[in-house]
Amino acid sequence: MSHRGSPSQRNRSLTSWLRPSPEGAQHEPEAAAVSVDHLTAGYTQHPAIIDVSFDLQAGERLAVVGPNGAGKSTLLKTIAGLLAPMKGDVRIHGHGPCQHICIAYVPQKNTLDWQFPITLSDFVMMGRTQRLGAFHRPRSQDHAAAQSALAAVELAPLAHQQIEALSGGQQQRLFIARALAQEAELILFDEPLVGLDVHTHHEVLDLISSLHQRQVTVIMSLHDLTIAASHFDKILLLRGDVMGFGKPKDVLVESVLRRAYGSCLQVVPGENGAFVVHDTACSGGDPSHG
Amino acid sequence: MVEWLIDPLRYAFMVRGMIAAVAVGILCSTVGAFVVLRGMTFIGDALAHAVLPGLAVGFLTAGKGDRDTLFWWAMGTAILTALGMGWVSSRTRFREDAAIGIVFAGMFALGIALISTVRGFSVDLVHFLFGNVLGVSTHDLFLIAIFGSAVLTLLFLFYKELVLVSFDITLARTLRIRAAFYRYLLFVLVAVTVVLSLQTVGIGLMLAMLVTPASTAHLLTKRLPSMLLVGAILGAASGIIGLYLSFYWGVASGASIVLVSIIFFLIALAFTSHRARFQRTDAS
Repeated sequence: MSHRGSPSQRNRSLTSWLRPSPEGAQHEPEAAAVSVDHLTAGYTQHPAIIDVSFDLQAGERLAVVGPNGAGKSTLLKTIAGLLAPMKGDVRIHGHGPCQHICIAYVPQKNTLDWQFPITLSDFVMMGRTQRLGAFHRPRSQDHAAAQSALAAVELAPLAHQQIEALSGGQQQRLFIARALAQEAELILFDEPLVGLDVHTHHEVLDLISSLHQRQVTVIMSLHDLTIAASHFDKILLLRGDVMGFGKPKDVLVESVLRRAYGSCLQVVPGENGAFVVHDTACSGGDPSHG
Repeated sequence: MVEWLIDPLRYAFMVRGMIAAVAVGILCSTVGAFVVLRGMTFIGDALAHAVLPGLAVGFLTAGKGDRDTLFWWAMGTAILTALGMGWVSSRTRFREDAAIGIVFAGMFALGIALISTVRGFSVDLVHFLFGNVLGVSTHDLFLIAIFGSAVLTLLFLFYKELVLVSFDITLARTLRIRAAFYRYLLFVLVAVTVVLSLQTVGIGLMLAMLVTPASTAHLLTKRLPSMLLVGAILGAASGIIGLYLSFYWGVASGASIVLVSIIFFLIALAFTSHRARFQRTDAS
């Protein structure tokens, strides 16, 4: 990625304190985009994930699946640097997540106040706060970046509308636009499809596929195994520890799924291979087949 | 009509009162916009009440005449309380609102207890609680100008970070913004605003000045910069109109300023709900 030269030659002391790493850490060219090494994390005494390890290359798309309480959100938050690991290590392009400003995290339960008096354009510009630097207003290239990010998710016509009028699908697209404006190279989505209709699912998923072409690494937690199989390069099946990691065809097999979902899983023989039904009471997702 | 407007301004105390009311109206509505958007109105109210023991100690040690001592005691107490509340609200162990409520009531009670040790305390207490804008001196105006511009300058300099931290704390954290610093900064700015506004509206009506013009502006505008501008205009207008009403009708000045700002709010509410209804019928 191209890091802009530091604009903060003046106000060194205060500015550097307010912005611990003004442009984010320099990426190690040899390192994996995401490297999770024997990671144990969670809250208080009870870790939600235990000894999780996997690597991702830049531009790969990973679906994190598993029953409720499997630790999907904990994993995402730890990779984002919002939660400190109890044991083990997370490296993003060779550095700890807290040294980066190129990680975008879209939380599961969206608790934002959508009545807040800002426009879509203002919302997207917030992703560039750290790149602007303390005491700086957006310059013309920042406006251009915000505008092209909105255009990429087809929200450009609404740029100067207030955010309160958006539908759920538009909100998700706006989050993606903000991540693009942030120049994020790793985007973490926690259950972005919950509460969206099937048509909107595909809108959001198509956008995420387009991120792939921009060499953006995507990690998304979700319930729908069909979508995980069809739209992602790799799948991490989680249930506290790793039940399976790899290409969808290697992970979504009866023996692995049985271990992860246990008695919640039923496998029915169908015409084109097995038909898997996992109980929604256990997983919270829709019944799906794989 | 012109005479009706000019008449009060022949008194120097009315002119000083007008200037103070306008400055406080602008300051309170601007800081108040962040108070409203962050949903920290309770913290604003608590800060205002927690100033009382500081005022009381200043009052006991220096007597009524020495306004400077009162001011610095109030300022010190307010800033310390703001930092304390910032600390409390960063602990998630216990419920933040309950903790602040305890501090707030405790400080207020301590203030009343201290003041009540002085004979004839009720008159002074009333001034602290409800303000006395007509007693503002030139020196008070000077302090309001200095500290008020400092507050507005800091808001301007850290505008985009304060907005970000108020709107989306998760994004602020993934962008590695020092969110704690900005939370403390905002609390201190509210505390300074409270102290500067004590003379005008007093402790009891402080919350109204912080919240009402900003809320009215929130109803009427779509973007934060225009919300700040409209709020400042409404705050200043409430100050001026309130003082005229106070002059001609003999109403307590702080109360009259607050009532005018609430009338503005009700008009805006009626206007926007009418517009919303109109849009709904239009759409169907």
